[in-house]
Amino acid sequence: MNRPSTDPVALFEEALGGHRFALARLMSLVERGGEEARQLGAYTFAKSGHAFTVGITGAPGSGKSSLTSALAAVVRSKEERLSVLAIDPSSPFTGGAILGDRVRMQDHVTDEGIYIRSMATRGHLGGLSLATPQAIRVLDALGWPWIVIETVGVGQVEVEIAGAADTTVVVVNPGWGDAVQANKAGLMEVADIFVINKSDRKGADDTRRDIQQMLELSSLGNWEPPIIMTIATDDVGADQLWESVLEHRSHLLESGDLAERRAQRIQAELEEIVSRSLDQLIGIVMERPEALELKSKMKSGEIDPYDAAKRLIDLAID
Amino acid sequence: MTDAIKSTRDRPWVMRTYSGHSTAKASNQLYRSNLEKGQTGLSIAFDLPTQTGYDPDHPLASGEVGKVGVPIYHQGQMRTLLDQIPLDQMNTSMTINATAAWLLGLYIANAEEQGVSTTALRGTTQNDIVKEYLSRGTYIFPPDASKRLIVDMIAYCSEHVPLWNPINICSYHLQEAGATPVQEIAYSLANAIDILDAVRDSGQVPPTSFPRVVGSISFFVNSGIRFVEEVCKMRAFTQMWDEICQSRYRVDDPKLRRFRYGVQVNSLGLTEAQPENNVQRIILEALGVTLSKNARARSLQLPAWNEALGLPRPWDQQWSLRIQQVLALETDLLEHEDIFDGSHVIESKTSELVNDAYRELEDVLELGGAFEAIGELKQRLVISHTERMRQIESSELTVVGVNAFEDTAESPLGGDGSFLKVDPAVETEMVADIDNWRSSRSQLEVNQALENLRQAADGEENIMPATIAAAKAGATTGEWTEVLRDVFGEYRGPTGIQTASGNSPGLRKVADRSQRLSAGPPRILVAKPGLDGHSNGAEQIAVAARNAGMEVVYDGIRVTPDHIAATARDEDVDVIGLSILSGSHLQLVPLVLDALQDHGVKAPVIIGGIIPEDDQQALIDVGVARVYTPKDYEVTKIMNDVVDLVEEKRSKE
Ligand code: B12
Ligand SMILES: Nc1nc2c(ncn2[C@@H]2O[C@H](COP(=O)(O)OP(=O)(O)OP(=O)(O)O)[C@@H](O)[C@H]2O)c(=O)[nH]1
Ligand SMILES: [Mg+2]
Repeated sequence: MNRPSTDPVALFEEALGGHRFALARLMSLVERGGEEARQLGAYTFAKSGHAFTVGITGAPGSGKSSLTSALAAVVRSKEERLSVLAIDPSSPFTGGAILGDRVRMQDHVTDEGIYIRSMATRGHLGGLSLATPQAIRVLDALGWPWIVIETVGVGQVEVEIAGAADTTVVVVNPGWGDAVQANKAGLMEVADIFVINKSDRKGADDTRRDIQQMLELSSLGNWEPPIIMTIATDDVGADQLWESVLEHRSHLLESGDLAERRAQRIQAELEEIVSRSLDQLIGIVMERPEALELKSKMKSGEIDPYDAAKRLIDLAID
Repeated sequence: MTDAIKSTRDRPWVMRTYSGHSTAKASNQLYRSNLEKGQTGLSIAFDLPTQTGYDPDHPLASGEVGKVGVPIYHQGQMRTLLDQIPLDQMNTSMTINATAAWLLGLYIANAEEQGVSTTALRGTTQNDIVKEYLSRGTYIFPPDASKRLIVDMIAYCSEHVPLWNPINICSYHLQEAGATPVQEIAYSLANAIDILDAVRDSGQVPPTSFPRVVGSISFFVNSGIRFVEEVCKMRAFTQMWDEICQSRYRVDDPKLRRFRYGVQVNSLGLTEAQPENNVQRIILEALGVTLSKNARARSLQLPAWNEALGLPRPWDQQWSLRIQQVLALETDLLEHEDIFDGSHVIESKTSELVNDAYRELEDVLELGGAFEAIGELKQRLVISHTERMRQIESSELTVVGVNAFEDTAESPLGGDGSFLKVDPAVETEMVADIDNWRSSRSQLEVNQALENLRQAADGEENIMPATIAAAKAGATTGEWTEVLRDVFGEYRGPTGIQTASGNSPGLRKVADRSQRLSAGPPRILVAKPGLDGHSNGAEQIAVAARNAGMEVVYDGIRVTPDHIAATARDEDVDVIGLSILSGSHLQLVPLVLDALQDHGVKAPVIIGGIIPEDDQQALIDVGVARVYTPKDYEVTKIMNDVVDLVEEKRSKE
């Protein structure tokens, strides 16, 4: 096979033809951002919208990766293909990252029916990486029917995933109560499905009761999140989890919520793009000679920051 | 009597040499000649396929057969290995763990065949799985199943092979993976507690026999270059074990509470540069475990001067044996009572270690015990090792010949002839042998024996009777293991690299470089192909790469070439870094390169580990971009090289 080109559209066509390396390179382009990523975004937009996305979130070490692996086994046993985006945290000090989620998914490494890709957050907060939504879109446009996204494990459950995925699975462990006390309300809001993983450990039933009570107290919509007990490392409960995902999907389709969620997602993405573009613009403007001049005037007290800001914004809009 | 000098000398410790290679026949000859040289016990090193439960014709065994130890795949080979060695007099130590039950089965089957009663058998199966997960890497089954096998062996031996040490709790390997003395003490004692609790709760051993089981627990300890502290560590171990046996297990007989231990002295600190310095290191380390009579090792094995170059030849091992003999027989060491009694310096250092180790031990018990806390303990070891590497690189820790006094006169030592090379033809010979073996046995009997084994494993029955029966029926190492893999499943150990950060200004600078790359930080795959379990280097390189601002994939030990290639492709990595210390690089690297090509991966491949000078060019010739060895202790420099490579690779795209 020849080296894949850097032209995103050509790469996309190669990937469509089944070249895994081209697919991997597309993911890299998306991660890098910039013009090529933008082109790719434009090219894939109309082709996407067919995949179903499942977000898996939960505290560090709660078993998200193990569960993703177990879930992947279930999906594969149904002869369906899936891709996994596993998000790992970048060090805020060095920018480096251990892409460690894959370690738990090793059973699937040589299975061509699964594509697993790690992405570091690269400074993005909220449990995903900046490029995640676009990576999802590319996978979607390439025809991957199921996309599972594992968020970073952070102290609290991250809410960002709820925007990015069709179904959000929140993973907790027995004895979760103390750990996420403050965040329980937030959890109730994002979870479409609850998983109590490591249910081989003491306190699983208590935790279940606890969640049930919380659910009863909160004002739910027309979907009542099921609570699934799993032992991810022994593949226990994964098939049930998959059943629940399918049920939730049917529910979203029948109720029209899916279209609603996706519309919201695109809206949010638009805002994000606009704000990011403005950020970039400001960066550029700040380097212009006029900006440097304004800065030095500000230093010497000739003009105030508000006035300087207004002039810079005018400059940017020009 | 001022009994400083006693007229009678103490008996010397058991002197062993850890050895075995190529074939059962060659190893048998080696053992017999070692015994003639005055060695007083056997210490068997097995090859990696035997240790990880593969027959020589299994794809994963390729390149590893007979390399770092002796291959024992069936009872016929056990018979050859022990030919003319009197089993009722010999004390045999077997470094065997995940497949320990099987090798003990073969040993017993062979003894019975020779007409030796199992009650006469003396020796040790290492059989410590926690340290396999944490350091040594030849684990197979998940923790619970592994623990059950250990408990079964202890219970079986307590009844049928009473003089055998069914388990040897190892702290040795923890130090080799970077553990501090406190970690060494705490983690190994936590491990012993976990095992003894499990034996007690299994109901397989009557309460009246339990103290004897406690007494049968022996230890395998390390002795590093800080030998005064090591003296104190041994005393701390002795004190703590005595206390634990008393308080936790109510063992009244002080003899059964005695901390019985064997030692292999530290090898991690033995250097490739100026290898002659290793001799003085080895001697000093031997002092650490022999000086104090009250805490003296029961048995001792010493590595050789050429440890960091490759496998020792008979003469290298003889040199190390002679060190022991001079120490025990020429010096006055064995004439004295404990020379440290009354030393307040030793006392206070010892109690400091005891206090700290108890604290760490409590912590592990709180985490649910050694088995439960494996992931956490592994991380702590990697953190300790990262700190050690940082100290060497910054010269805070002096290593003579490495980061100090590097200049040397021309040395007559070293070079390519200075270590043992195993003939690769051994593999073909062993494959033929096992073919032969399989065709000459009764397959029906073997099938039946394996079926019985499966049922025992599936149920609650003790695993040993079915294992011994399978050995007698002619089953092979791979077959025994395959049945248990099927029942218990396979385990992938934790990598431990998630949290180690370290604080190296050098790496911080590389991180700045990494972050400035326009196409994003370098993505690197660190991988260990083959059966090699030496993970230190890979872990430290992975941690360093992260600290150098890179995005790092590392899946742990024992991955196949296809696994490596598929990962490299799917993650679109910029560099693939292999780490191989088992000596099978010439076989494995071409396999990995082929797989990468098949998967369309063009990223540069670099390699590190024990790579003899002669082989380095050979690897470059097949397409490897850089080769690193233990001499390259400056990790910062390695990381700068990696960024160079990434820049070069990306500029061509
Ligand atoms: C520590 C050690 C162990 C530890 C390993 C702990 C662990 N988790 O890693 C323990 C005690 C468990 C162990 C066990 C065994 N060991 Co050992 N072990 C060593 C020892 C003493 C040091 C290796 C080490 O960790 N060094 C520290 C690390 C950081 O250095 P390093 O790996 O060399 O890495 C540096 C460079 O090489 C390079 N590098 C390495 N990898 C990579 C990768 C990349 C991408 C890059 C860029 C750079 C790079 O950068 C690093 C930084 O400087 C060596 C001898 C020696 N002094 O070198 C023997 C040695 C490697 N062991 C040996 C043997 C035989 C064994 C056993 C197989 C014995 C047996 N028969 O059972 C067992 C089984 C292990 C297994 N499962 O495979 C032999 C191998 C012989 C050969 N090659 O022919 C050696 C050489 C000793 C000897 N002379 O006999 N061992
Ligand atoms: N006992 C038990 N252990 C589990 C179970 N699921 C996962 N684990 C263990 O929990 C640890 C963490 O599992 P991961 O799957 O890596 O958890 P994670 O949530 O992806 O972790 P991060 O991505 O680091 O936040 C590992 O040691 C797993 O083996 C389970 O059901 N039972
Ligand atoms: Mg994870």
